[in-house]
Amino acid sequence: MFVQQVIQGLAIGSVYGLMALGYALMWQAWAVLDFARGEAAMIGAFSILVFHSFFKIPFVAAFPLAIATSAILGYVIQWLAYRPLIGGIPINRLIATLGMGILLRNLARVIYGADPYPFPTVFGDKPVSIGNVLVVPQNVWITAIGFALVVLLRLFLTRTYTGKAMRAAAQDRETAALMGIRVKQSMALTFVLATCLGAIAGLLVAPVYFVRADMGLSIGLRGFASAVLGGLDSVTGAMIGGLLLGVTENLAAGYISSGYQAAIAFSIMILILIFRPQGIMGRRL
Amino acid sequence: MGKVGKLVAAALVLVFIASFAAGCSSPKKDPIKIGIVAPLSGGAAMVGDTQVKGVALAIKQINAAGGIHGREVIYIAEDDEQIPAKSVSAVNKLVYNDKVDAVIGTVNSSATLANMEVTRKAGVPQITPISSNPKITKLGNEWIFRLQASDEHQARAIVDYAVNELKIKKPAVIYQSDDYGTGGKDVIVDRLKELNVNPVAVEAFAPDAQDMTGQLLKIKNAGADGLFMWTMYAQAALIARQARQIGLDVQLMGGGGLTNPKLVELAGDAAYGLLNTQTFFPDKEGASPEAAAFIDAYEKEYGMLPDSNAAMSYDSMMILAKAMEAAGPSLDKKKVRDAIAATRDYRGVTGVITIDEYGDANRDILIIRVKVGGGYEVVWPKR
Repeated sequence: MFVQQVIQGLAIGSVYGLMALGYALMWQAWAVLDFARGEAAMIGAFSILVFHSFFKIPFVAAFPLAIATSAILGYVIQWLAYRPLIGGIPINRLIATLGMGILLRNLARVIYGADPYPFPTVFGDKPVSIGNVLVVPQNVWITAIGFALVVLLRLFLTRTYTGKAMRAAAQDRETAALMGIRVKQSMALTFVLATCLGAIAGLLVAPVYFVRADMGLSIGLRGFASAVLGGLDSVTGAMIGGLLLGVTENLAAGYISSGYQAAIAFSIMILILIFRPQGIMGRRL
Repeated sequence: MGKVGKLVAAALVLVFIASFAAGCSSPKKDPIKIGIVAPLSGGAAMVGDTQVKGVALAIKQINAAGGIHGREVIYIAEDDEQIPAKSVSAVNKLVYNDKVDAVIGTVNSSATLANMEVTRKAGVPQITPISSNPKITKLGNEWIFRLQASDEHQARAIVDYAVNELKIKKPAVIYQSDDYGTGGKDVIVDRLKELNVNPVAVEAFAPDAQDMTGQLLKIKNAGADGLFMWTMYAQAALIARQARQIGLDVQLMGGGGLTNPKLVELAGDAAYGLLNTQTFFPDKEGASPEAAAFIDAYEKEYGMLPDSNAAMSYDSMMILAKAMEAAGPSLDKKKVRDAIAATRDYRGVTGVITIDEYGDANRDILIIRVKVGGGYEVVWPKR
């Protein structure tokens, strides 16, 4: 049972991790905790729902369309609510993200209603038995895609000019601008990238947890916790934080008390942060 | 004032007089106002929506038949986001600002428990269509009535069926950790003990949880042969699918909160065979003539099948209308209250309803099963 519990924890944990990547990215580029991150997942999930389920476009074509839609929406959102606050005090940006989250959630509810929508499985949801452990193919895919994105994101941030420019702009906007980096453009690009990552998380979980207007709320919160746990300045840390939170939650339910599942998981998180305030993979503060 | 100005002024005066005259020539009676309090935004918005739809359909039919005492009926809906404090403000507004003649609502039991104090103090009759916490009608408040069968009746009915008919010996319980889920779980566990059956696992999950596999694995390991769940249909769909994914293949059972066409849409074949208690189910073939007529009218009006909440809300309004007719044209609130309390053997769309001394609608509880391919069939009482 222990192995099975860990495997189930890894599955949900990968989703948290994918969400956490968006938080880490936004922290690195915009120096803001973006509480509308969860809504990126919602946007991604509804985009794929509209293209695949409503317009009957095959998944392989609907997937890039959904990502493109999310990217465009992401650009519009940052232009409307985030960009005007770049020069302002950080707390204003934080509040803008909270407001944007509430706005997007309720907008989706007005358009699509409050009921969840089913989404057909793409990678298969019939469990496969390996030894005496059951593995669900789509969970394996979610974990694999999550790690692939971490590797790609790391390469992008550390090896490409655009990625380096993003990080430079986040560390010191004025100096970066003096060095010839187009700061606003670079920040917009990060935002779009973060939105796409959230959207991917959203459309990966759509078959598992359905598509609903308030889906961003609970996975967004868990994603935030994972990013803090793993270290906000490390994308690898964010992913590991997600997996750790997922596994802890499942083991807490399995071995201690399901009534205190979230309480136990978050207590462990607080404990880790007491001893390592910068998160597991974060640089020393 | 120029020439044009004078002409405009004269025209305005004429219009004013004409409108006045029109008002006098056909003395319109004030409409009867029904206040609806329901979660119209927030996590339970879908349930609040069907509540308003059910009441609105009843009002439409009542008005088409000439209203109540020849007066038109209108409704004013207020959102409570299923937050008790907001629910109290909403009912305060309905009672003191809008001066409604009666209140229908709300969904969330904790919110009803809070807002029913407002109608009690003001002496306004209130019917909650769906709040099922047993406490609501047990506090000595004579202004509150409930159409839904209380969880106490529902949970006992499904436990009795599982133990007596299905011979389930090692049941497990999973419930959402709020007033609704905990209340249902307590009744299930107590009733099982009365029947000398010990639950092998009793597991909770947060009301916003998406992943219950940790709990389900524990239940699987405990060797359960049946699973009671006290939650709403969306999370029940997650439980049904996740149970299948971890290879937990047992009879799934629950309360009225599971009845919804969405359950099968979301859970697919994992929901087939699920059993739950109900007083209304949207299946024209097995339904009474009253229910069938309602399902038709609802589908025509809204292009969707009604859920049990819509049906309960519809019946609430119809019972209220009947009581208002019986109370006489003055619509004295005490008389309306007494007329609701005197409801006997009313043939509603959710069954034959008699209001008991607590204000609860007493009726037989059905046990229904999700058919293979979707839809419901009644398995208890046996036909």
